[in-house]
Amino acid sequence: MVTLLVGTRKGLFTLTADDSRSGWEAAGPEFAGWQVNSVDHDPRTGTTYAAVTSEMYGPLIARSDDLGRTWDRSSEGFTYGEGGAELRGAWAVRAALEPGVVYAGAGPAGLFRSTDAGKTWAELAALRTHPTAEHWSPGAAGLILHTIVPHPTDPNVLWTGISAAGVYRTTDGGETWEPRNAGIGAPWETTEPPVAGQCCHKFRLGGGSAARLFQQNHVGQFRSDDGGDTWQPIHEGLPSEFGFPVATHPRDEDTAWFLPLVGAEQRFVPDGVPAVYRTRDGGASYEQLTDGLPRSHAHLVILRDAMASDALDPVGVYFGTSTGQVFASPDEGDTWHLAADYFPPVYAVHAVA
Amino acid sequence: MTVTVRLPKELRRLYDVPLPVAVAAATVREAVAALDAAHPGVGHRLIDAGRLRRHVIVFVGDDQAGLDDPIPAGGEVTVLTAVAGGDAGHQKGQEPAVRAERGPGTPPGGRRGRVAPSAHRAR
Repeated sequence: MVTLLVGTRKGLFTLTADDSRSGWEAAGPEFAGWQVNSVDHDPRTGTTYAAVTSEMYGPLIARSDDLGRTWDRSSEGFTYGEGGAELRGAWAVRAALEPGVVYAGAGPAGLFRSTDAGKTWAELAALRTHPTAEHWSPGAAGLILHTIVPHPTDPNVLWTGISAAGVYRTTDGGETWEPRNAGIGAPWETTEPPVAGQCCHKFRLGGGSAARLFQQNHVGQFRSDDGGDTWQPIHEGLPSEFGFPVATHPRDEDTAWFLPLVGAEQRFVPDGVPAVYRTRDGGASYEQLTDGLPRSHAHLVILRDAMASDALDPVGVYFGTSTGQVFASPDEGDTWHLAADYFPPVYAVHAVA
Repeated sequence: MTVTVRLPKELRRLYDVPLPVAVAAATVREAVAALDAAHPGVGHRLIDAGRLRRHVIVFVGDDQAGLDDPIPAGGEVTVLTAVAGGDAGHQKGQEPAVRAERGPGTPPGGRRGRVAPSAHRAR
């Protein structure tokens, strides 16, 4: 069985299907009216996490032990504390290597850790107070920490992505951090090369590798083969350098999916024709995948957390749109179908399978 | 001392809080803490970093109140949220919320002039 956790502007929905990944059953919303920016599920503890935000009542990290039937909404410790900045958004939640360890990203940008499966939280303050933080500036969603990538085997290593600050990596469990953006431009910064301030949109580890990363940045698509120390542009063969999400293959480090959008001014798919681009050679070349997607006048917007892959073979790939559609491919992108329509704007898709 | 608190519907629904809810408290801060003890997490929806969240407004009786303002015995605490746009005297969008949370018998928007989000930033 495959369950898609779909975070939207107005709640959390689920889509469920058998391993054929067709005939989806929708349920929800949980947190009706609240914005769900990021969702995760840890199969080892059976815990589901949702990063939930209200413009009025602020953010929380909710947790569920029964696949979303009931929720613990206490989110204790998810704050910058007495006299600190008010937390405005919860933008990322990711279960890490050690069972019960979970990370959460906030806006204004900062990183929190829980060691009790999301019951209580504490900030890892060294990131927010990093000497390069003066180079950070807010993107369209504010200054937010939106991407958390735990190392697959070393609990002390973690990558985070902040807009617009870039990729930061710790190798000592969050005590110290270094910007890892070499090779990526930030044309709005005054120093060359920029110290920090890159506009990372989303990045993921490729194929269970500890060194291969794929990134969709404001200024292009990039690959790293050394854990983020250096990045190479891989946008040759794509219709646009701009876009938000990237999905990766759970077993093949050379395979990734991008969904380019026309640049920063328009931010929808080129020519109104949605197309997913798949590379099987680490970004040296791409296949345009459109079978089953709308053929014209579909000016879809796909946001940073709204594309995901599952762990089955062949891999399922999914994306949600700001107009409330969820598209699914059970065959690594070769064919697509509409899994849901008329949802609120989709902000996050996570596949549990 | 027992006081009664009225929370907006969105919060009541998410944290399963009755309307009104009775708590033992002498100040707004104590009332929020008592609510949080009974409904874990709801206090953090109203207060962060030691302050009322920027779009949250609290009344004790008829007067807008800060966290450390006292609540008389039997007093009524009403929590509202700011509504963006408009000027204080013409915030149509606020009327339903005010009516719903204050219950029958209260003139709708009777104190709207005090609920200007820009003018009365939460203390």
